[in-house]
Amino acid sequence: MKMQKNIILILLISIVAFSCEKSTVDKLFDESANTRAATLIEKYKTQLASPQYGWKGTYYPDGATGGGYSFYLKFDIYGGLVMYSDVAGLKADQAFETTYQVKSLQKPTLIFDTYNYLHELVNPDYNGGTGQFADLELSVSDATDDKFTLIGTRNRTEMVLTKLSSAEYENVKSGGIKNIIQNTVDIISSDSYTIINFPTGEKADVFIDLNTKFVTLYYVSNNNIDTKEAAFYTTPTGITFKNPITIFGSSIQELIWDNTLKTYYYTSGSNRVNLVQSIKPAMPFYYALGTYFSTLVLDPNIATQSASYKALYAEIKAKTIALSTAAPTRVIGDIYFFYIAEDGVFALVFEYTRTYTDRVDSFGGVLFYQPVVAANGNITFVRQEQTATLQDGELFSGISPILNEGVKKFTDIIETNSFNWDFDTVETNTATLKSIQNPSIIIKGTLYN
Amino acid sequence: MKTKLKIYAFALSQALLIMACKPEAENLTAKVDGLGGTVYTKNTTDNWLTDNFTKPYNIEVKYRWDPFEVPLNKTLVPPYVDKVRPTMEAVKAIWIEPYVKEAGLDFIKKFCPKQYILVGSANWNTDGTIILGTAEGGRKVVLYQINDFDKKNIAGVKEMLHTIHHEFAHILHQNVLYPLAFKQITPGTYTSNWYNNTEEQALDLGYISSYAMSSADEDFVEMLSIMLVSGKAEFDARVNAMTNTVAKEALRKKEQIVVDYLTKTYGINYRSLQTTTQAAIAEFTK
Repeated sequence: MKMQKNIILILLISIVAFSCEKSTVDKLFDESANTRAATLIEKYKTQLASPQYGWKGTYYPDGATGGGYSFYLKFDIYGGLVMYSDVAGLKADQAFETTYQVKSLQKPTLIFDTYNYLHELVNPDYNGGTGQFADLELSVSDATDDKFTLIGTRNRTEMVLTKLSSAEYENVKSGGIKNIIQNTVDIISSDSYTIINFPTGEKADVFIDLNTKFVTLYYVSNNNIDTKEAAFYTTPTGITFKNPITIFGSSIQELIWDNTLKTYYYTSGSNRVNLVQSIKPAMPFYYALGTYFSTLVLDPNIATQSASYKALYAEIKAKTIALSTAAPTRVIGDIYFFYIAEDGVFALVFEYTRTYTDRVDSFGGVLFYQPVVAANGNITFVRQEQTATLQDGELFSGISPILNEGVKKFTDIIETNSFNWDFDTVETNTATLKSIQNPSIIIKGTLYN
Repeated sequence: MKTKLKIYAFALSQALLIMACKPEAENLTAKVDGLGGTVYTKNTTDNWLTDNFTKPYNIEVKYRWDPFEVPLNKTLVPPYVDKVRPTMEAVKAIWIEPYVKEAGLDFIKKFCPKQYILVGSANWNTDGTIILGTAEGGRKVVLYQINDFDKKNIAGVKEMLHTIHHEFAHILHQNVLYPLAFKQITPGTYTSNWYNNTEEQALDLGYISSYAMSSADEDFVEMLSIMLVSGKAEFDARVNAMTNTVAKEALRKKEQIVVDYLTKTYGINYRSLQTTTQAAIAEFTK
């Protein structure tokens, strides 16, 4: 019993002795997590609103695999935001007044909380429920007074904000982005090709796609067609690539618009290289066939068409009509070569119509040719056994014997000559067949995809 | 022995007291960030919403993006600020005011959903269908596709108000269920694959819309809302043109239950409400 009493006493004394001891745990942070988050949010808001000319944001949706977009953002401390963006296309000169929040979700997050240009990329109505896999909530990954790195909370897209200079801000405000887009549209919608002649002597065709926001270079390397592409966004001075394209000794980070020359140029090292517009692509004809175009319409009405072909066309047309023994007669329309890339053969199609009292039936007589290309590039057409008739988009076996006989003079020329075949030197998007054996035979055709 | 025990107990309590006394300056009233709503500077739209929805009806209208108010698994966007007021003007003119006129201010104050969430885009399902609105427990209504709202587009305004009336009808039947006889009118054709039926096919089976086929509850609220938004004349013309007499009869039975339900349960003259709603639509879209 006494023992028990002593134990209890010792216990009590020790409780008293230890109960007053100061805590020895050092707090890792002086303030609570909540206070620190609130402080950080206020700091980010101040940082976002402080640059006099705002920020330039670069953005790539779909896990940074999509094309690029530029945003020019001027935040105010009250949650207001003035935005310009190349998302707006030809309306990129119009400022969009919108709103934002910086809020603590899992991390301090910049939220574009009412609809603006950025939401055009997020909007699920455009892609059957998914949009372009973009983000309207972007958490702050890193922030300084000069740069913000933001990561999308849903699709992990990245937006990088860098402080805007006075000159660039003024350029954006006065419609610089819209002008670049308009100039690019003008280039794309013209009949000509945009070409880079590299200082090393090589060439490439440049295709700028304003819908996907990718630029693609097509060129020939080691006798093969090769491509290089980069996502780009629009600035008031040109288009800037996400990653530089390194090709033939040049490293191209951006294409800058020269409004005097009305063309883009780039600088690589000390070289300035102007892009040029041309009626024919840089890609040699034989490579371009099946890549840029597959159809060659041998139109007698091309302005500079040869007299010999015009006469030939008229002759076979008349002959086919004359050969028809029963009405309605077969009247030849377009004659065209169609390159079937997967088989490596050409279909030579003679379109013709038969006009009844109540309807017009359209057909196409089809012959197939295997091309044989000599070392010097000259081409010979070897006729295949199979023939066909095209009606309502479907191929039926066998060609009309009357048509076959009617166009024989033309097919004889195709089958007994070899040709030099290249882009026309005068007409845009046009090719010329020149007979080697009989130089007076020249046939021009218009090229289509 | 008993005294000793008391002494020990006293000593123990003192010790605990001393232990417990150690002062620790913990701020228990620290403000938790994010509670109490988002802080933002109110614009004219916010003030208009406060004056026209929050103050008179205790309804909160939220249009600024808040991920936790909408389905987290869906891709959605907030509305254009410019679209908020026209949309809610329509809601006020074509939903609230007709009910106030026919059922009184207290009725709408009591039963109206207390929160409206506005979303710019549609809410897309994986099967390609879209959701235009949802109601949660009579408290909250989410309206989608606000960015497509156009006051002059009568069909569009009707579609939007159809959604509002549809969701409000859910609240009404969740408070007092409609007669069970309604569920027995077309009992065998309710289906979760309602979207495989065209509007004409649904009508031929005795449904006012294909979505009405999804369940008896949806059927009931579709009847109530479509008859309001289309009006009696249009509904009658549609039903009278039907050749399938079984389906025709089914629709007339459903119509009668809806009309009786509002009168008996809430003391609302449905026909009068229908007329008022039609007049409101005509006035708003003119």
